Amino acid sequence: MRAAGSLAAWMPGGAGPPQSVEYMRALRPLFRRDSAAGMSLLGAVVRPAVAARMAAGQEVFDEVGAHVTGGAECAYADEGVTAEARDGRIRLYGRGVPVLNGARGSLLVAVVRSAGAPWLAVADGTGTPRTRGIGCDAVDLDGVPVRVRAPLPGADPPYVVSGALIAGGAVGGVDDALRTVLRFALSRELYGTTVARLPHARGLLAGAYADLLIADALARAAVTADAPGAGAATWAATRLLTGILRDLATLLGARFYLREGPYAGFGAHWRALRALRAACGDPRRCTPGAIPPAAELAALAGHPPPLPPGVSVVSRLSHLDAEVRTPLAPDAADPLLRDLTARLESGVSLDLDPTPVDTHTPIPPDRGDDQGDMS
Amino acid sequence: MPERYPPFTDLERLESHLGDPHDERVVFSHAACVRLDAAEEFPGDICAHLDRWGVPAYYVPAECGGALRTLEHGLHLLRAIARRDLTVAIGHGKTFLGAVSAWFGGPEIQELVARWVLAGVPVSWGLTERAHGSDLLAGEVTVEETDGALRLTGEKWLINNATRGGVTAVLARVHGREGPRAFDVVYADKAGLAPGTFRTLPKERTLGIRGADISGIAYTGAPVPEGNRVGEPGTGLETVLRALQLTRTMCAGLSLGGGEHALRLAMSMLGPRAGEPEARARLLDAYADHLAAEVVATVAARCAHLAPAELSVVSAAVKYLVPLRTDALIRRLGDLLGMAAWDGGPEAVRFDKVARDHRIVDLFDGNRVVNLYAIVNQLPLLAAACARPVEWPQAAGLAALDRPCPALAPGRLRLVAARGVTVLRALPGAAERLREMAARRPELRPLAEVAAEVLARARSLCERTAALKPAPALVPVEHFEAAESFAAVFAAAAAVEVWLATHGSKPVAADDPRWAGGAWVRMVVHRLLGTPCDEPAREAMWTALTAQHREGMLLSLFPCRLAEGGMG
Ligand SMILES: Cc1cc2nc3c(=O)[nH]c(=O)nc-3n(C[C@H](O)[C@H](O)[C@H](O)COP(=O)(O)OP(=O)(O)OC[C@H]3O[C@@H](n4cnc5c(N)ncnc54)[C@H](O)[C@@H]3O)c2cc1C
Repeated sequence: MRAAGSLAAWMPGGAGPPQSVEYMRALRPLFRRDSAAGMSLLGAVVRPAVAARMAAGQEVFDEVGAHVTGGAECAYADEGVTAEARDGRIRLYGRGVPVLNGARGSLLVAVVRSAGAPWLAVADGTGTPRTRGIGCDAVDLDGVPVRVRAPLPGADPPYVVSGALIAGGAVGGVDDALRTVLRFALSRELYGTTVARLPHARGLLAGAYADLLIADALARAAVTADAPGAGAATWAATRLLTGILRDLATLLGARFYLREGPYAGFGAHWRALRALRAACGDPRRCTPGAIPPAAELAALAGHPPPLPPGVSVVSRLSHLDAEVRTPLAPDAADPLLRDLTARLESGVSLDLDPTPVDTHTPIPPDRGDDQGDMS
Repeated sequence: MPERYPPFTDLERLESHLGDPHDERVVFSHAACVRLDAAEEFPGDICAHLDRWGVPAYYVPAECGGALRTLEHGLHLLRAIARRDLTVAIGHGKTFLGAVSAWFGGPEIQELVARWVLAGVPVSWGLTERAHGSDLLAGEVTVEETDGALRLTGEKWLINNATRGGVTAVLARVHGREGPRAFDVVYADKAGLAPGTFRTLPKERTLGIRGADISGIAYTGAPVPEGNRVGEPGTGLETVLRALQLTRTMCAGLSLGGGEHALRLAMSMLGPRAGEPEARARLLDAYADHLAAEVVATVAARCAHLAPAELSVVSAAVKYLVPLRTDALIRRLGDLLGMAAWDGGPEAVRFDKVARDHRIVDLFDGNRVVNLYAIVNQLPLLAAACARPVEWPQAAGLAALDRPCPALAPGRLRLVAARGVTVLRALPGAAERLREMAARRPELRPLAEVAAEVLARARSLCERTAALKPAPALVPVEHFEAAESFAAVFAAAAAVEVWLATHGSKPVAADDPRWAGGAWVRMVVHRLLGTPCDEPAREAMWTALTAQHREGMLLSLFPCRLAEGGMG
């Protein structure tokens, strides 16, 4: 994000709703280049800005907006912050709070749930003791005075909307990861053929592509839908996206595990996007009660992609958290792979709305579906 | 007080040497491992501490002068190291993998390699080449016989301990030859190589096991004495394929340790929240998955001694199933912890580390797909064996975990399991035996029902497998699916049989609520095959899990005291 230019660009504009497919799509090129940068936006801008937009108080939104458009980052605390009135001011307390971007953000935006309905507090985020974490940081709040505050329409809606935006943005990171692994599979020779011609690998690649399209449909639906549907769709999208990355890691073999070399970019996406499951996929927050069955999740996808016979949205959503995801059989895999390879060659994104992407790596020719002997 | 399950006697002695890992003053502490990981530094002091206790002797079979009585003992010792830190277990334990080829050779090579290992020389294993990965037959490193020496040329990459190791077991193509009988395994001792005939490659920076020495080695006409070749010329690939059966089985020890580390951490991080219904359910799933891994890995290790001709397929099933399910176990625990897994506290840092570290276990020694492929190749044999059941008592030795195993005879390992696998062939008899027992003891009825269900699944798998056409070179996905089912059914059958053959034996604590009515089997099979699981079984498992965690006992089917539980 920092490399990608101004933070201000990520502040949802004016009085418009933060629930916008355009906003989500705008995040994708950033994720495609650097998922870690995309994920760090969650705490620095997206979550605080969405909450500020949804809070009933223009002052809060203005404060966050001024901070971000001035080029500074926020820190966002979603749980564990309490407030008390002391010395004539409302002050924030809480120890070991997991805070998104806590170590960097200079404006603290916190959901306070200590008494009654939740509300949003904005406070000076500098000068508090912090411990750097893996995806979020610990910040000790010991009486930091609240600058401005406003009631929230419940704590979950801002959480779900910002989660959906980030999950939708992360489609861009997984798009790049799939592109990388497809290139590997097309060029890696094993047993006298290429990995891309091994039926198991083909089934995984095609499944990954189908899932990416479905995750996009779910994320689009989630950013505009009402909770709890939006929460469940976001939850399912994050499971699909992380499931795709698992399959792609299997395909990439040892190179997945290396932080340097031509495929290091894949590992960087993988590492950054692990946090998706925690950042916008908490089932307690997204889907109060049981996780909906696959058919209901599929219905949430709104405008699902056209898929070939032998694969359906419901079937792809049926075993979201299984240890292994079954590779698609050739009748379903082959048409998907043809489409996927064509998109790779023409340099367009792999989501529901193909748009040109930067590609710098030469693409090896697809040797197609013709099944040769493996000697 | 029950008698110890035999491999746990060594484990407890090692624990007593290593001390409580939470104590920062001990050499092999969690804090030291986290520090080394952050600095991407090899855990040299910790490895030396393991050497002092004598761990390397456990990489050498007793018959060759070492302390490794059975693979089962080695598996559980490696697990004890891995439960503290996977980087150490992989960095130190690699010597087992490097040395193992020698046990398939004659007395001279056995003696030579045993001497190195017992002296604490790290031995690495050079199979993989940059351009060929899993395709060992395409290997380009060559060995050429000139002037009474073998000369190695070419590059092996990615090799664990290639730089710090003293010796590498190299799979090399005999110069100018083609085909499966074109390879040798040659032990190249750096100390004996002329200067300029080899160079090590830079350390690769990895996702996990960041301190490990993952590098490579390139030879240019490096001279190796002829006596350093394993077996007859041209038998190298066969040696490797048999050696992999032992190493794939041992790899499960890494997963057992990693899974235990993650589960203990999750229990501690959740604190009183662990008992809330949602958390309890997920922790129990993880515990059952961990016990499933323990059972199937232990049976596989015994198979190396008691049914060596079956290990080709059994080791592939274990190497496929155990790392995969342990990765999933860790991931799901991470979901349960939510943001707590990311907050940078000392336990979150360790949780992140074990999740990253453990991902490698699936990758080396053949990844999950390569192991399924090894099963696919044997599906016709497995299907044919369904028609040849063996009587239950005859087959019970594999599953009777209190009984000793005979010495390892590497020469008896085979490339295919021509007669199928005993665990599945014994299942009809075992299920029948349980049915009879349940007729007399109603508390065993749920267990007998589970056994009957496992048998039904095994039979349906037999039918499905028999109906499959032999796999063509480009293996269709349905063959892989059949291989996956084989692995799951095998593990479930192993659980049933272990209960039947081991309950009431000395290592089982008389008051252990999991054993009385087979509660652990009911839950393990539920996790493997999706059969229903009753609440009394969950309750018994919860009692055991919380007691083992609280009292500093190994998360296991048998009692075993860890250093944090006080060694008395
Ligand atoms: C940290 C680390 C340590 C290592 N240590 C060692 C070591 O000490 N010694 C050593 O020799 N090697 C070592 N390796 C290498 C490791 O064993 C290789 O990862 C392994 O050989 C596979 O090769 P590859 O990763 O290049 O994948 P490839 O073999 O190129 O596989 C690529 C893809 O093809 C698929 N595939 C492969 N075979 C089949 C098949 N039959 N059917 C269908 N799909 C298939 C795979 O699933 C994968 O998706 C290490 C690797 C790492 C990352």
